[in-house]
Amino acid sequence: MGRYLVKRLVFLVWILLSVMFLAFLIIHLLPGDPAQAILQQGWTPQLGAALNKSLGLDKPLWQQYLSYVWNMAHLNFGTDWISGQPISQTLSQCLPPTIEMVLLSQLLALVLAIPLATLAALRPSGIFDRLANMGSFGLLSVPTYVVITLLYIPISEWLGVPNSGPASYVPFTQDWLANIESLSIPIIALSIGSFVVYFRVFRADLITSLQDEFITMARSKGISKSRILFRHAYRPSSVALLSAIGVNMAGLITGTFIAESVFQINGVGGQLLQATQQPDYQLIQAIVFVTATLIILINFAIDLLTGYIDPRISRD
Amino acid sequence: MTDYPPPNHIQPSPFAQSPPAFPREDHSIHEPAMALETPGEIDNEFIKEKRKKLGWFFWCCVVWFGLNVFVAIFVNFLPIQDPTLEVATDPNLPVNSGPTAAHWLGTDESGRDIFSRILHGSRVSLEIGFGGMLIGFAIGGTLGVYAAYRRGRFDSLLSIFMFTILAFPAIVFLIAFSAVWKPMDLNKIIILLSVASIPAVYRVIRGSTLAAASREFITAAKVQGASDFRIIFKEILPNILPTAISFFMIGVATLIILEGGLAVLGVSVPPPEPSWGNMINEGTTFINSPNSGVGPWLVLFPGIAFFLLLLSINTIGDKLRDFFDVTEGKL
Repeated sequence: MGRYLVKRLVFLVWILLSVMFLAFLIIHLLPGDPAQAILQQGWTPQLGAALNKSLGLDKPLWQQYLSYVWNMAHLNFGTDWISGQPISQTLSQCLPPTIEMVLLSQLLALVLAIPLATLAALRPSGIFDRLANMGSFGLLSVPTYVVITLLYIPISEWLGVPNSGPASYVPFTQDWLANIESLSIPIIALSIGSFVVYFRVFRADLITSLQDEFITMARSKGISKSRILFRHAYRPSSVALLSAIGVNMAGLITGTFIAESVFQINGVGGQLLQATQQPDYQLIQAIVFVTATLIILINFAIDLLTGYIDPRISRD
Repeated sequence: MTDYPPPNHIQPSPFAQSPPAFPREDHSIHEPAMALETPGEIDNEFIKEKRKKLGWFFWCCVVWFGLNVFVAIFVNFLPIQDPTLEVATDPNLPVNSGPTAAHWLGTDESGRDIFSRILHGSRVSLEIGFGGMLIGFAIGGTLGVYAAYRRGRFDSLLSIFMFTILAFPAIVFLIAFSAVWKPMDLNKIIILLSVASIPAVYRVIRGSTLAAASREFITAAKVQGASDFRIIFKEILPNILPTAISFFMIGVATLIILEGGLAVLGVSVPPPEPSWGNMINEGTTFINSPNSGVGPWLVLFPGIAFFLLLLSINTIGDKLRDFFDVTEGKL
């Protein structure tokens, strides 16, 4: 485990450095001058040069890169050139709803997928299994954004949540019930896409695990069915489920961004899209870095958990 | 050319006529599936050699997919309304109408015919799906086969590079790049998406090449003195083709979904071009202003178009993989 941990950590640092480098490139390989983007109509050569000097953009590229890496490593994103607001403040406003949507939708998807997949795997090719398998294969072909946009009206009428998208977000610390209610529709819509993937992966793996020889062995020893299921079969089956969570993260982020833009929630996706329209390169850079880091950290945690669950993975 | 002897020149082994050490038909491979609840009848089914069939649903999907391809190619010659014809140029067009005889799937808020826009949109989806995956396979697939066959330093360096890109959250970078690389057009989207697909293709192709290259018949071919070129094209490629084809189809579906997502966010092919994602993006206004008169069909029909195309592509990929899946026991 120790060597595995070190190996994963080295890879983590390497990936974070690469992400930083690419986020840096996005700004600095741009055609044109950042000062021009900030001043827009008011741009004159003198003003632009003065602004570049005050922002440190006149220094050699490698110096800029070093100071940029230093700042990013300290989570010091500086002040927005365009709005004049500290970027960390913008981020602290838009991160919570996004993180909450991601976490709660995953929780909901897993809570639904694991029992249903177990039910299906206990009788493979049974009626429930066949129906669920067919249904989930069909749902696999429905992109999350279609689910989000189509489910909005029926769900909102059923739950009695008002149809107005914007402004309904309430911070969790203020009123947790109202907070969850305000995000309920995006969370339900997002969980469907993840649920389908988790259900299929876990079902397939559970069926394979239950056919394994050690299960036959356990049965012949007279161990009860539930104990076989929970103590023997779940552990090997959850490895694929964990990696599916990691792979699913990309689609989930897209879905979350779209949910934010459809429901006009002030989250990371909405902020990023706003920044791309300006275009506010500094904010784009910060958001890309923070989102990428969070996703990479989640994948890192999943890697460690996989290594813990299946020691064979962490051994070589 | 013939630098190795054809098989019939090999002297027959004196043991050739002796009976094989193990019986050919070894049914122990086809053990019955053991679940917690194993009904006894399953046993017979598994011992019987099942003839593989693609099934009627597969052919339905092939037909639907073919129809999409046909429409995408010949859409300009089909007798349908111009997808960009607006109420501004032709005041007789109905605005925000539901399905009627003249407009089968209704019209949007500027009077454009949704049916015609959906037909035109299939071109964008298919071009992006297939264009992106073809580039992805041309680069990622070639590198994957080569790296897995060569091994050594080339393989390890390339793999580190590819796995680094693979660990990047592609969507965040795609949005950021679409912001700095303005104006967006179809070719740029295809390039961005194929760059995102190269590492995934590389990983899959490299993995199956590694598995194929370690098999005995590759060693046999090498011993016979076959050239690398021959081994790669005649021995390895046919063996990784089933995996490659099904992954290609899944990849096409993934790219179509991804492009749709970017379009719904408004950062893909710019609006006048009809694409399904753009249509959903325009249709979402009905959610935020329910009284604007925009109907749910604006989202519903492109959604159905997405669903049917993706379902057919996924089914084709899935069934082909099952069909070509030759278990080791049968070799």
